Amino acid sequence: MTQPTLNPKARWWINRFGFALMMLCAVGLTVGTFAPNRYRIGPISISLRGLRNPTVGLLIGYVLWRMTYDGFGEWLKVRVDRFSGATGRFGGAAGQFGAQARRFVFRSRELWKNWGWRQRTMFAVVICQGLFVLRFWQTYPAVMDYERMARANSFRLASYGPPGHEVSLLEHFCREICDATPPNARILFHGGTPAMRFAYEVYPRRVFILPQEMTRMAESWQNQPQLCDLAPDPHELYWHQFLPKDSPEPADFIRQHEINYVATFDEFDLSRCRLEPAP
Amino acid sequence: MIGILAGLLGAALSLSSICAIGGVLARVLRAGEPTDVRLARPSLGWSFLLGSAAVGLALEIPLAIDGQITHRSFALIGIIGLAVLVWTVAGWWRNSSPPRALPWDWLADLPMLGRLLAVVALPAAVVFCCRTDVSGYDARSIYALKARVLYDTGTLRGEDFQDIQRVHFNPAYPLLMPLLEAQVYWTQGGDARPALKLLFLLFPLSLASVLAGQLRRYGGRGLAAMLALMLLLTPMFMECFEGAGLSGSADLPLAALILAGVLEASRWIRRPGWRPAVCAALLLGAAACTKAEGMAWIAACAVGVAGTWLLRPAWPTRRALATAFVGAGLLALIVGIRQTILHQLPDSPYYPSYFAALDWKWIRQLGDRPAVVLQYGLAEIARVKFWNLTWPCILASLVLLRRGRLPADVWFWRLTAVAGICASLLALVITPLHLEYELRTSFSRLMLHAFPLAALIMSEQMAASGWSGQLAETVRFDELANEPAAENVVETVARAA
Repeated sequence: MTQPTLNPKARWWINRFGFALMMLCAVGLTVGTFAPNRYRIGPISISLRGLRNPTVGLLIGYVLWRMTYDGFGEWLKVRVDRFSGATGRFGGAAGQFGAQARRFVFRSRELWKNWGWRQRTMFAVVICQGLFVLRFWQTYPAVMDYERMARANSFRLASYGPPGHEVSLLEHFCREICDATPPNARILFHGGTPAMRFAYEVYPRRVFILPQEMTRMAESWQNQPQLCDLAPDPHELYWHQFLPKDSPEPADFIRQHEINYVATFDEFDLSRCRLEPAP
Repeated sequence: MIGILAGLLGAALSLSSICAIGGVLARVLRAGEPTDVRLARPSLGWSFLLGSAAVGLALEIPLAIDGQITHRSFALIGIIGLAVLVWTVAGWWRNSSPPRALPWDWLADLPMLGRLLAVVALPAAVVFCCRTDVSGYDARSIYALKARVLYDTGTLRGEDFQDIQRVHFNPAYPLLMPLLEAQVYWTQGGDARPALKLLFLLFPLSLASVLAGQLRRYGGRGLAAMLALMLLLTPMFMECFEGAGLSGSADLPLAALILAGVLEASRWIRRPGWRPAVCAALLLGAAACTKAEGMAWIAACAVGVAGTWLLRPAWPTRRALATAFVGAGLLALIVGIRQTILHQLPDSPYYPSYFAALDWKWIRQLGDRPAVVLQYGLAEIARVKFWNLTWPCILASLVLLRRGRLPADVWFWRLTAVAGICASLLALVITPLHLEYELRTSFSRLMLHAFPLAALIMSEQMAASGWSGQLAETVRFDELANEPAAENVVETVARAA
């Protein structure tokens, strides 16, 4: 069988175009990995929040460059071969690449014919899984960057959410508390389940909760902004009878635990969040 | 900037020391096992898991003796770790063995596309871990807070642990992860430095490494590495939402220790000896000291061992019984240390225990709960945002027809996985908390504990049916592999028959 031939000039252009595309997309992939963002270069806006486009471009450029390989970029070829372990995979001729692709398609078709429904089902699920993995991967750096920004913003902003439905941010409140109190402060906290995160964020300041509030919290761990749609569970009430019912006077509790500050936090009302010296 | 660099350097030193200690243990306890043929040394996964188990358990000993741990204990572990690290690196230097290959053990077997995925995802994860503090609810309120208290005060007898009005999520929680975190703090020189999350990143990486090492028994290196990468790129492993691998929660470390422990126990079932018995006891003991669910998984392993012996035609040999005694003795010692520590901590009445829920008066009210839990479970396995399609893959693999009988170790994996999952579902049914709340916040985490083992069972089933071998032949995953598979499933099946 004769191998398809290509005009040398066209081959040269395709090779250089493939190389340039590959390099450009490699830069895009690197930027998208370490600093995913939407970039503006003059009138052009380039989104590098997902890695799909640079990856596809990189692969297309690579295949074009290797299919028309004429010695250009030898230094890169050696390194890419070492990276991929695929020495001589695309032997430099379009015909060879095409023959390999045809062999692959033939083998796959034979395999599919020989399989029963069980193997075919498994294959379909595995292919879908592969696509989901790729989908996860292509946005992974952007998701991680978003999480990092969200965490940084939670210290910077007092609240978030649409106007009228703002949720107070505990981390920002904690930073204010840390600024306003000495490290050995002992704080009585009013505010429910955020107390646990509060205790970590303001450490080494010691945080306490009144027993009656602790009981209320133990009766309703589900009372959190992200779980507000939960219906009550009738069985759960059985355990409320075993929770401590003592409710000491706050003043006695404050004296007994040598508390010197009282912090109040309300996730739904920023104006109620405050720090006061203990009475 | 100097603080950040000091934090990074401290975390890197601390984690390298843990790996070095684990590497020595792996050489002793896994001697004779095909580990990494090219490197001729234990893989990163086994080194880190054994190292973290050994270091965590060693740090528990002073707490068990008198409820206190001083910085001298952290220093001792740090110095031993650094000495072993120096000795290991010097050994590489002398033998001209390439240290550059260390973090790449199974990643080096990936085909090109896999390498491209890894080259992008792993640096993104490392950068994220270096730049952020632990962020999950449990990560902060349970583990990192306890780590700070232990690093700062070094005692279980102070008000931080003993006063139940002091905000401290469930004081009576196992302390292995906080102790490991405190060890990293010690090397960093403070508890306010970044990069603690690198500790948590190493667990999914180790898990994938251990799994890839095991899967090489059932096929070529390339296919094994590709399957391990697919597992690693599951959102539950590499994201940071509540309970996921990079949130700083202890669920993924627990899953990794369970998988490694089960693999060692199955090695002991195949070839009874003191080494696998001790190694399994160390890893499963560490799992029990990581989370309370670890105890349930030890029970599941016991069910698995008993079931495998019952299903096998031959009764255990005297050697098997003698080495089982060694392993069980060590496990009992570790659980004893755990219990001694927990007995020093107050039982807070605000956190009802699951053991208290094993009460007939309570259980007889719960007739409607099993259906709710199962329904939620079915929805969970199709939750692609957490798992991609791995659970459907696992279920689909069970319809493939195997060639030959089930080997004993595969019986053991399956019985253990079934017992562990049943125990998790039972815990959800009898939970003393609001059921829907518990399902939404705990179901994925409980499934995560069984997930690596289920993925291992799936991969073995795919290999034993010949499916993955045919696929690998067609796609030519393994044409790049330098060595053949260490031991393939056909041999295993033949030997079992």
